[in-house]
Amino acid sequence: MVQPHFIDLANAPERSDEDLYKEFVETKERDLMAQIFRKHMTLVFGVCMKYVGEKHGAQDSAMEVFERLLTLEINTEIKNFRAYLYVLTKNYCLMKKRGEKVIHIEISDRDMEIATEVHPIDQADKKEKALKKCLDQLRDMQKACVEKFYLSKKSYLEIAAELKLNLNSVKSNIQNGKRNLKICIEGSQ
Amino acid sequence: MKHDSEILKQIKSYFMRRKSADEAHAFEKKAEKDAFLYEAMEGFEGMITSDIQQAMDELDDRLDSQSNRFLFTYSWKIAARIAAVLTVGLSLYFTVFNSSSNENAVSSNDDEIYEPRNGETQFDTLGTYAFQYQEQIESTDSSSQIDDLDNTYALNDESPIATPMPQAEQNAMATNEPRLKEESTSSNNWEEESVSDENAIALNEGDASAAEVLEKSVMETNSADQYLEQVSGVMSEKSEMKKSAPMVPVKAKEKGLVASPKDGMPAYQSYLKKNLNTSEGMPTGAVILSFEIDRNGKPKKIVIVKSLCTACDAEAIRVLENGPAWAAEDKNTKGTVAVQFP
Repeated sequence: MVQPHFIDLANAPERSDEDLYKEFVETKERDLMAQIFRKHMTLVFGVCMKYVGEKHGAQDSAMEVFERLLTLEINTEIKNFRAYLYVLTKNYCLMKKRGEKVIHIEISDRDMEIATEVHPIDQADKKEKALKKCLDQLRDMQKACVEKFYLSKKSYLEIAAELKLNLNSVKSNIQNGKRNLKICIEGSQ
Repeated sequence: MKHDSEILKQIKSYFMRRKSADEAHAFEKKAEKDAFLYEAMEGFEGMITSDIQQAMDELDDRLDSQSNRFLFTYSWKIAARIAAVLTVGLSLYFTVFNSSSNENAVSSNDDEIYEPRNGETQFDTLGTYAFQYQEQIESTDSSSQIDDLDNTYALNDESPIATPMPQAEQNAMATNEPRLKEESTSSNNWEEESVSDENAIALNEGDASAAEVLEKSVMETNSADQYLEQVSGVMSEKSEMKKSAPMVPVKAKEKGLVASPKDGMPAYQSYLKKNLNTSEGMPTGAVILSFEIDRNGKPKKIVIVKSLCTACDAEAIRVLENGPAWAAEDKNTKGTVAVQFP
């Protein structure tokens, strides 16, 4: 006898995005995609907020991203769904912001690499020497922010208070310091 | 419907500065590694946390209505499947029944056993399904009933609305119920959080309805309290390390709300002066807290009305929680205190 399908659904452990996506490709059932999307909806909305800058517009964009997911080409292979969704959301919002008509979004492997990038300091043991040298070449504020954040494990607020900076310049110092570090380390190899 | 997810919880708690400095750093580090989260956090900056929750709830609803069309057809599919299974089972049963009861009397009329037509009274008790299937298919040459039903099943799958099946539909709905219950319990926490959020905003704006909003939160459970206790637990460990920090004058003031310290304001000020631990990094300003008072005059359900910094907020909550009792006229009394940092 055929077991009713929904009994399995209720007791099933949480399935991975990629697993759900595979089933979505086969069955084209919207609910599967909605399930995946709901998991990441907070972040999608946040990214839309960043680029759209206004709540209702950001909500619309988030839903448009969902629509786009539903109409993905059948052959689209997605290895890391979360990274894919991030790049899709970001590119969609950027193109919409520029006033371009969003027809097709190319997502290259390089984009995905950036999305899952690991910070250079996290591989510190391998490249410790280069890192130390590069850290010294950073500008004072960038160096101070990066050191306090990664080495002294201080939060943004604590760093802001200690260096008498505002929160945003702490963040941009860390970001720029990180980028400069990466360029420097890659250059020295 | 309330949107609830682990990441939303974390983001809200971060922006409400409910995390200790260490937790905040851990979360920030996670975001530094994860570009998706980092950009989302940039997007949420400048949004009020209750606004984030509201926006997410709305999105959740929109997502539901987007996939509702699917749910509708899905339940029909389930119904169709159940009906098909039932029909197969019942027709098999009747086939067997027929063949056993008619074995002696009717041995020539094999066709009638496998394909019962209108004349067969047993099929009336099956309800209308079987007949409708047969009318739909009009199969004249099929040798077995089961093959027929497989066809109906396939047909039905594509055009499920053709045949109404109330019983099967009920079944499908019944299985949805437990899911709904789960959702409602998991959303409880959020209601509370957003209520305290509302408190914060209302008081910030000096709104006249602030008292009303606060009153609402009395009804809520006390998990916010537990959270704050945790935070203050972490902080008191930290503040022991900071004992060397210089003592600075601290000012506390009443804000026109009913509660006042039991031993009077001057005594409370000197308590704050004595017990507030500050570190060099802390910015200048005041943390404003609002709270309710329990039977023993101890502050409970503390809400940060105006935040200063993560460490400051937690320290202010710690002193308030561990401080002397407040005088309360009745159980609905509220208090507000401003803890001044150097």
